[in-house]
Amino acid sequence: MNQPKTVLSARALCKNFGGIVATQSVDLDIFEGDRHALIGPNGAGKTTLINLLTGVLSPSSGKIELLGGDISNLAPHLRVKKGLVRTFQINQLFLTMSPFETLTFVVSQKRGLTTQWWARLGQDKDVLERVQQLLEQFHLTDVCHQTSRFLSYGKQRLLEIAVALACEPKVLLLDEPVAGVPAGEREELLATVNQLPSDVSIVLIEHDMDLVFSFAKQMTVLVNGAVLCSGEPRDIAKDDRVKQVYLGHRAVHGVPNE
Amino acid sequence: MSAPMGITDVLSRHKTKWWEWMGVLAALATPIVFSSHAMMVNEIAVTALFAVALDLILGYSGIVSLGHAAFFGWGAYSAGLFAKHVHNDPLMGLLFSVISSGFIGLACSFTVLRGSDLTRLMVTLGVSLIGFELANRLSDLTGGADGLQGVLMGPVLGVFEFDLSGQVACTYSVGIVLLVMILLRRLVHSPFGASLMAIRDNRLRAMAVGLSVSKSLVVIYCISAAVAGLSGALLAQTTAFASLDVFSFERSADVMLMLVIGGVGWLYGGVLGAIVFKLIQDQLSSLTPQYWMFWIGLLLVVLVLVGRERLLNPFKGWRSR
Repeated sequence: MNQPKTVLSARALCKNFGGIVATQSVDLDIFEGDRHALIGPNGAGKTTLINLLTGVLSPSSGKIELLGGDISNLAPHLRVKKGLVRTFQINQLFLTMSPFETLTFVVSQKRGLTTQWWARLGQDKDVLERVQQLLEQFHLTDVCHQTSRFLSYGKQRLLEIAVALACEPKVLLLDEPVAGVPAGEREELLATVNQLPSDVSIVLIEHDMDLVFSFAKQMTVLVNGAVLCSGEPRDIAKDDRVKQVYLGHRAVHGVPNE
Repeated sequence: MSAPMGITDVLSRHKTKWWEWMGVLAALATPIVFSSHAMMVNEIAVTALFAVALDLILGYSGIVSLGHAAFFGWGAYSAGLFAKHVHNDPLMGLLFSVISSGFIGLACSFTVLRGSDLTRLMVTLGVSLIGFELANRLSDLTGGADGLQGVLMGPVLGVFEFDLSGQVACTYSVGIVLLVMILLRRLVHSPFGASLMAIRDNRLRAMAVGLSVSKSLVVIYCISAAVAGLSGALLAQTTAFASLDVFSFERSADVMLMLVIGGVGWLYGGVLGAIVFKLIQDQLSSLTPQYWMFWIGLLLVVLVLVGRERLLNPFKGWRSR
């Protein structure tokens, strides 16, 4: 396989909280159009890593590059402007706004229209067109005028991703997109995640292994803040260390259970 | 799909509604209809605009402030002093007050960007106390505790002299307030207005969609300060007087009460609140001069516990649907 272009990379990324090492010299490469799953047991430092990449936390040491530019110390909203966008494990929506208003605002924001105070929100035809596309793509058209607070959890989850995609990301970080979604709404969400545009590189954090293995082309396993291994899903599935981590410490030390 | 219909729906929500036109007409009629109470109408108009100014940061952007009187007071004194020492044309005075209040807002905005709500309450309160004490101490300039006297305003537009009955003053205030309300109505329905509401709803996410949260907040804080300054200037010009109470804590607290009564995060909430508050104050203080605050307090408790939607403003729930 020829080497695709790297869009997001982390080199020797470290983060300490006092004496606690949350991220330990992590190297990560995300390629153009990648479907990359980031997995690991609870407390492995997945969310910390996401927070470092998006700029919510600043790294103790190490370097982050986006599209060849150093973004290690860039403010979070400027990283978004450069194309690094995330969704949140716990929905972070504009709860008093409807999906329509939310997406119109986000698309306007992406196109630099939020400095306008005289125009009406949604006056721009191109913006509206894009909003309509997004609403349809995320199955939100029917509920687009309901206040987001009153949407079902599954719809809120869809909106959560729609908001991120409205930012026109180059790299999209999906933090547990299907966590907590009831079975009835799950299929819709999975289908939508699978149909995200192929030119957007996606990093998926997820505990649901069915989704991970059906979705990912590359995987990275984090344990105790460090990369345990990375590679293609079928290799990871066979990796003994990964099995040990997920099955518990007895196996790690090779002590037979019975 | 019903998407195209949805769009006209949303755009029509931003259209001026029949009751808004009614409101404009009612406002324009007040100086004539209530000509015997012109100064009361004037005071309500000024206070309403002040409440709307607070709503821009409190209701729309989620910044709490217990010291918005700082800008109101600055507006009042700057307009008074401008008339006294520079030029007595009312509109020039207003312009001066608006711009200078905006700049003071800019300087103060950096104090409210960080920290929690409690920090903001304290910082804003502190700023208004500083204003109060400065106006008190610089008595050579401001007249100190006696208030700023000897303000002689010129005629509005060079034609309309302020009269004793307050008719011109009242018309002038209502006109300016209406004009500002029209501008602010555009603002809150614009993409910029949406970005403020997004910040209020979820600052973390607003940042995560690439919005420069600090910049937006600085801008709206300036605008809010300028509008508060404008209302203070109107008061000083129409009463030809500015006293220390324009900076007082009570003024900041009262205006927040009005906003809560009328509805936070709704452009007309401040106006409605100011009307209700001032009328209640007027009625009750003539009935029970000593205890009128008791009834305001009771109203507030009932309002918050029962919910405004059911009590006073049935249109709001209907509007947001």
